Amino acid sequence: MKYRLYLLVLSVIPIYVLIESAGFKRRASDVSGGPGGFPSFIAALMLILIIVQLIRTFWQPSKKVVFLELFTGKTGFFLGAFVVYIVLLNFVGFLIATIIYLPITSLYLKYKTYGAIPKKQMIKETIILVVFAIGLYFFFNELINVRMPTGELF
Amino acid sequence: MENISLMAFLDPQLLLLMAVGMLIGIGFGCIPGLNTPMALALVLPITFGMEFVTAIAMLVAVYIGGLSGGLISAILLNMPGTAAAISTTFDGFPMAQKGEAMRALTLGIVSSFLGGLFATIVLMFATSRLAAFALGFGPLEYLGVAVFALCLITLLIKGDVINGFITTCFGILLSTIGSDPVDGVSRFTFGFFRLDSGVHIVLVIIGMFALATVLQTTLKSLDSVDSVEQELDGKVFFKTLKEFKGQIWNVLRSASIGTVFGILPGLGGSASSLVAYAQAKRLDKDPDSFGEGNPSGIVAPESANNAVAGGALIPMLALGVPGSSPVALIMSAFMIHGVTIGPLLITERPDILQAIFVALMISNVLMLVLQSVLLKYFAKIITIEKYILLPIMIVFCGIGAFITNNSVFNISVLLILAVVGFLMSNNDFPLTTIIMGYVLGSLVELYYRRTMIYYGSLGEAFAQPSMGMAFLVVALVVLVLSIGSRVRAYRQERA
Repeated sequence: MKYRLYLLVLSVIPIYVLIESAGFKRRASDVSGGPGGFPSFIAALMLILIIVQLIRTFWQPSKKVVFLELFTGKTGFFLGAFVVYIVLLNFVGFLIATIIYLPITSLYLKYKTYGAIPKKQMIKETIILVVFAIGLYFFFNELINVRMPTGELF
Repeated sequence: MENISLMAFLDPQLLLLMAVGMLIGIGFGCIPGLNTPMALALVLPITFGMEFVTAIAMLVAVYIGGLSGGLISAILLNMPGTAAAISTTFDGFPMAQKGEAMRALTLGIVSSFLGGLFATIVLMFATSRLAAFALGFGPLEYLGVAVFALCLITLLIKGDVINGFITTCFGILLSTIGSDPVDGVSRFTFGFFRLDSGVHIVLVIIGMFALATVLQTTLKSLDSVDSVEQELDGKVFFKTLKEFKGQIWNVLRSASIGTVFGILPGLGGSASSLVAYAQAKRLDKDPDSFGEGNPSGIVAPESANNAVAGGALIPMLALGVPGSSPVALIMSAFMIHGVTIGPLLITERPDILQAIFVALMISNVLMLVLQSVLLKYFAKIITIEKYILLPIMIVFCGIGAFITNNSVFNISVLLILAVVGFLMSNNDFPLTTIIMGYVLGSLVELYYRRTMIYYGSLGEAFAQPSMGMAFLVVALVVLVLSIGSRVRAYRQERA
């Protein structure tokens, strides 16, 4: 049942493309199908294939769907941390966002893998990662002249 | 005249500059988001004050370094530094995960060297003839090649073939986001003007491969990932060299594919390495082991994508047509030094042509030597504790996405692609076909529409026999045969 739902969600993509493509105007002289011709063809093909898979689910053993795992445990934390990192990039820029992001995610993963971390080790690793973040910033900004994101505040 | 150009290569300073250029190229090639054109653009102003031969030699070294550098992060982190290294991840990363990172790197480096060498030799003997061949290619021929490459995807799909086709379609649709290639109409942008230029290939590669892999890794126990012991002995390099005895045909075939794709402007390294990989799998005795660390799966794409370098220089030297952005940057160095390139260059300035051949040869040797020396240090990356490596990889993914057009918006797109990639790969939908669909989809659309505009209808296009038609027929045969064999295998399995 969940797999069918998964396929139905997937079918939203070709349906969206088909609807959008129908709205693209085509020049009268254009014999190539216009801006929507090629995407419509591929979307229709994708939709047919999804329907075939949906029909197959009626006589095939049900499949387990991986979905919630993305939002729970270490994976969920990592995903959430990345969202926060993107928000931080917009507000405080690359340097500060990375200085915050790197030690927190790294220490969390270490804690989840090896259990409690001694204070000295925690400080040492935090310093290394902060220095790494600063080094990265200077490498890109100063050495190869690639400007890193600046935030609204910094 | 000849002697002056070639004598320049005896100057240790020139060789040192080439080595520096090579290291810059490798560095830019292996960091996702940084690429060969960026490295060339950075080095180009430095070469203004140099002698012409020195300048070209340094730029060629950067170019070769950039092309081969992508394999390092592709093999060690499943993060292809360049689009051309996508196929290298298919077997390179699984091999590294088994504790054979040094072997995988050696296979990649030596294949790159052999591919580059092959293309240089071809360049030396057939520049003008091959350029004429490329000039005969019209939109129908390009369409034929692109459709042929797209049909080869069926050979690469593992598991459920219908799921493979669904993800191929998804990849193609992803390539249609942004302005359409003929009229410039904005498509499927959800109102975000930043999507008008499309979803950059770097975002698709990093999001679907690197970031999705990072998320995938966090599903497992991290210490168990670290427990794979890596064989980091220098002897591995020489031991792996012996494997090339059985890879000669694979190297020659893949390098030929790379050279031809290099000659044809617009097709590029990623398409050539995909086709070479598909061919290697089709002809291998054990095609089922592809995707699990088969050495041929590393040798084929790496031979092909480095051969592209030599191939891409052919239309530039013979016709003055740059086939790719790195070649256009090298071409600009010719202009800056007052050298006009085109058909007359071959007859009037053979010394320049010879200098380029020598520069390509030396660059390939330098690439082999430098990467072999640094091999052990590269391989150590994989032994870094995952709790440190994964957050750093995420930061590099973010940087790579940002650099593509200096926008944090790209990092949000990256996140969405990673989520989609994670949900697809964990539910038996292959990701490799998404990338292939993306790379080839835009080419198929572009050349299909050009063909239709040029001929008026498909009937007109097929009215006369042409090379394009032959490619399309072969593509159809490949598609029908591979689907047929899949259906037979499925029936046998059910019986």
